Amino acid sequence: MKIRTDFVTNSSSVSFIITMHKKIVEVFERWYGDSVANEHKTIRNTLKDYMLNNGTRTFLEEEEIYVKKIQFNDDDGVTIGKELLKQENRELDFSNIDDDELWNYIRGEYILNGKLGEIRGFGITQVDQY
Amino acid sequence: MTNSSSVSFIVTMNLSMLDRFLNTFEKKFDTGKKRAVDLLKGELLEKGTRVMLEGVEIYTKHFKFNDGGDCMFADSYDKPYGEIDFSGFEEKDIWALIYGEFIARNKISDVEGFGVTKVDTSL
Repeated sequence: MKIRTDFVTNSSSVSFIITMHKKIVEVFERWYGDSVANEHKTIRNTLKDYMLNNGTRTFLEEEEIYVKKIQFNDDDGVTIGKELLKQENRELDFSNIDDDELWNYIRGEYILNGKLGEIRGFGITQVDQY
Repeated sequence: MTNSSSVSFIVTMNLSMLDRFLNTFEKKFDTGKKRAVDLLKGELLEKGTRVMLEGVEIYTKHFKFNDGGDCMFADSYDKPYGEIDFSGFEEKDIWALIYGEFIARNKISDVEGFGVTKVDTSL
């Protein structure tokens, strides 16, 4: 019998399709101005730039939509959620956050936990897990 | 006079992810969620558009409705949502729940394989 001796984790690879309606994102960006929380602004602007630079522009149901598939391991140190921050008794400072930490938070809280749906114009659909 | 307005969303669905999720979790759904997911899945399969996005098969459908009269939310009913048996509800009443609770409030995104993108400028 073969006995596996290497380290086994419960991590799994997850894939999502992010969708963005640029016009809607920008309309709400103008309406809200500076009245929204720093977190909302930082996430929205970061993801908007990411989608414009890396996404595929297409038409879905006659609407111009940017789409991008994103894949990561959900237990590989690349995700942070609000629950984990609470357990660690710390908060993120979005006015001075480095890119790695910001993307860990985007992956954990906004993609994996689905909070991205709260930013108007963005959508998230899980398409794989293994 | 009401404050309701017309709202638009694109619902996206990856069938293989959804079926895997349902296989494991559907038995734990309440009756409202069960009927809402069944109806929405059927609607996208029958009337949605099948596209490939970034190499992934996705069904899409545009939904436009009034966020007042067309919608019901989990807290819109006389009884607490958890005590309601939706099994005998007419389809039109389940659609009101889908429009309100599951699409406008984005509850459908809790079901892996479904997603919602807002495509109108109403608040």
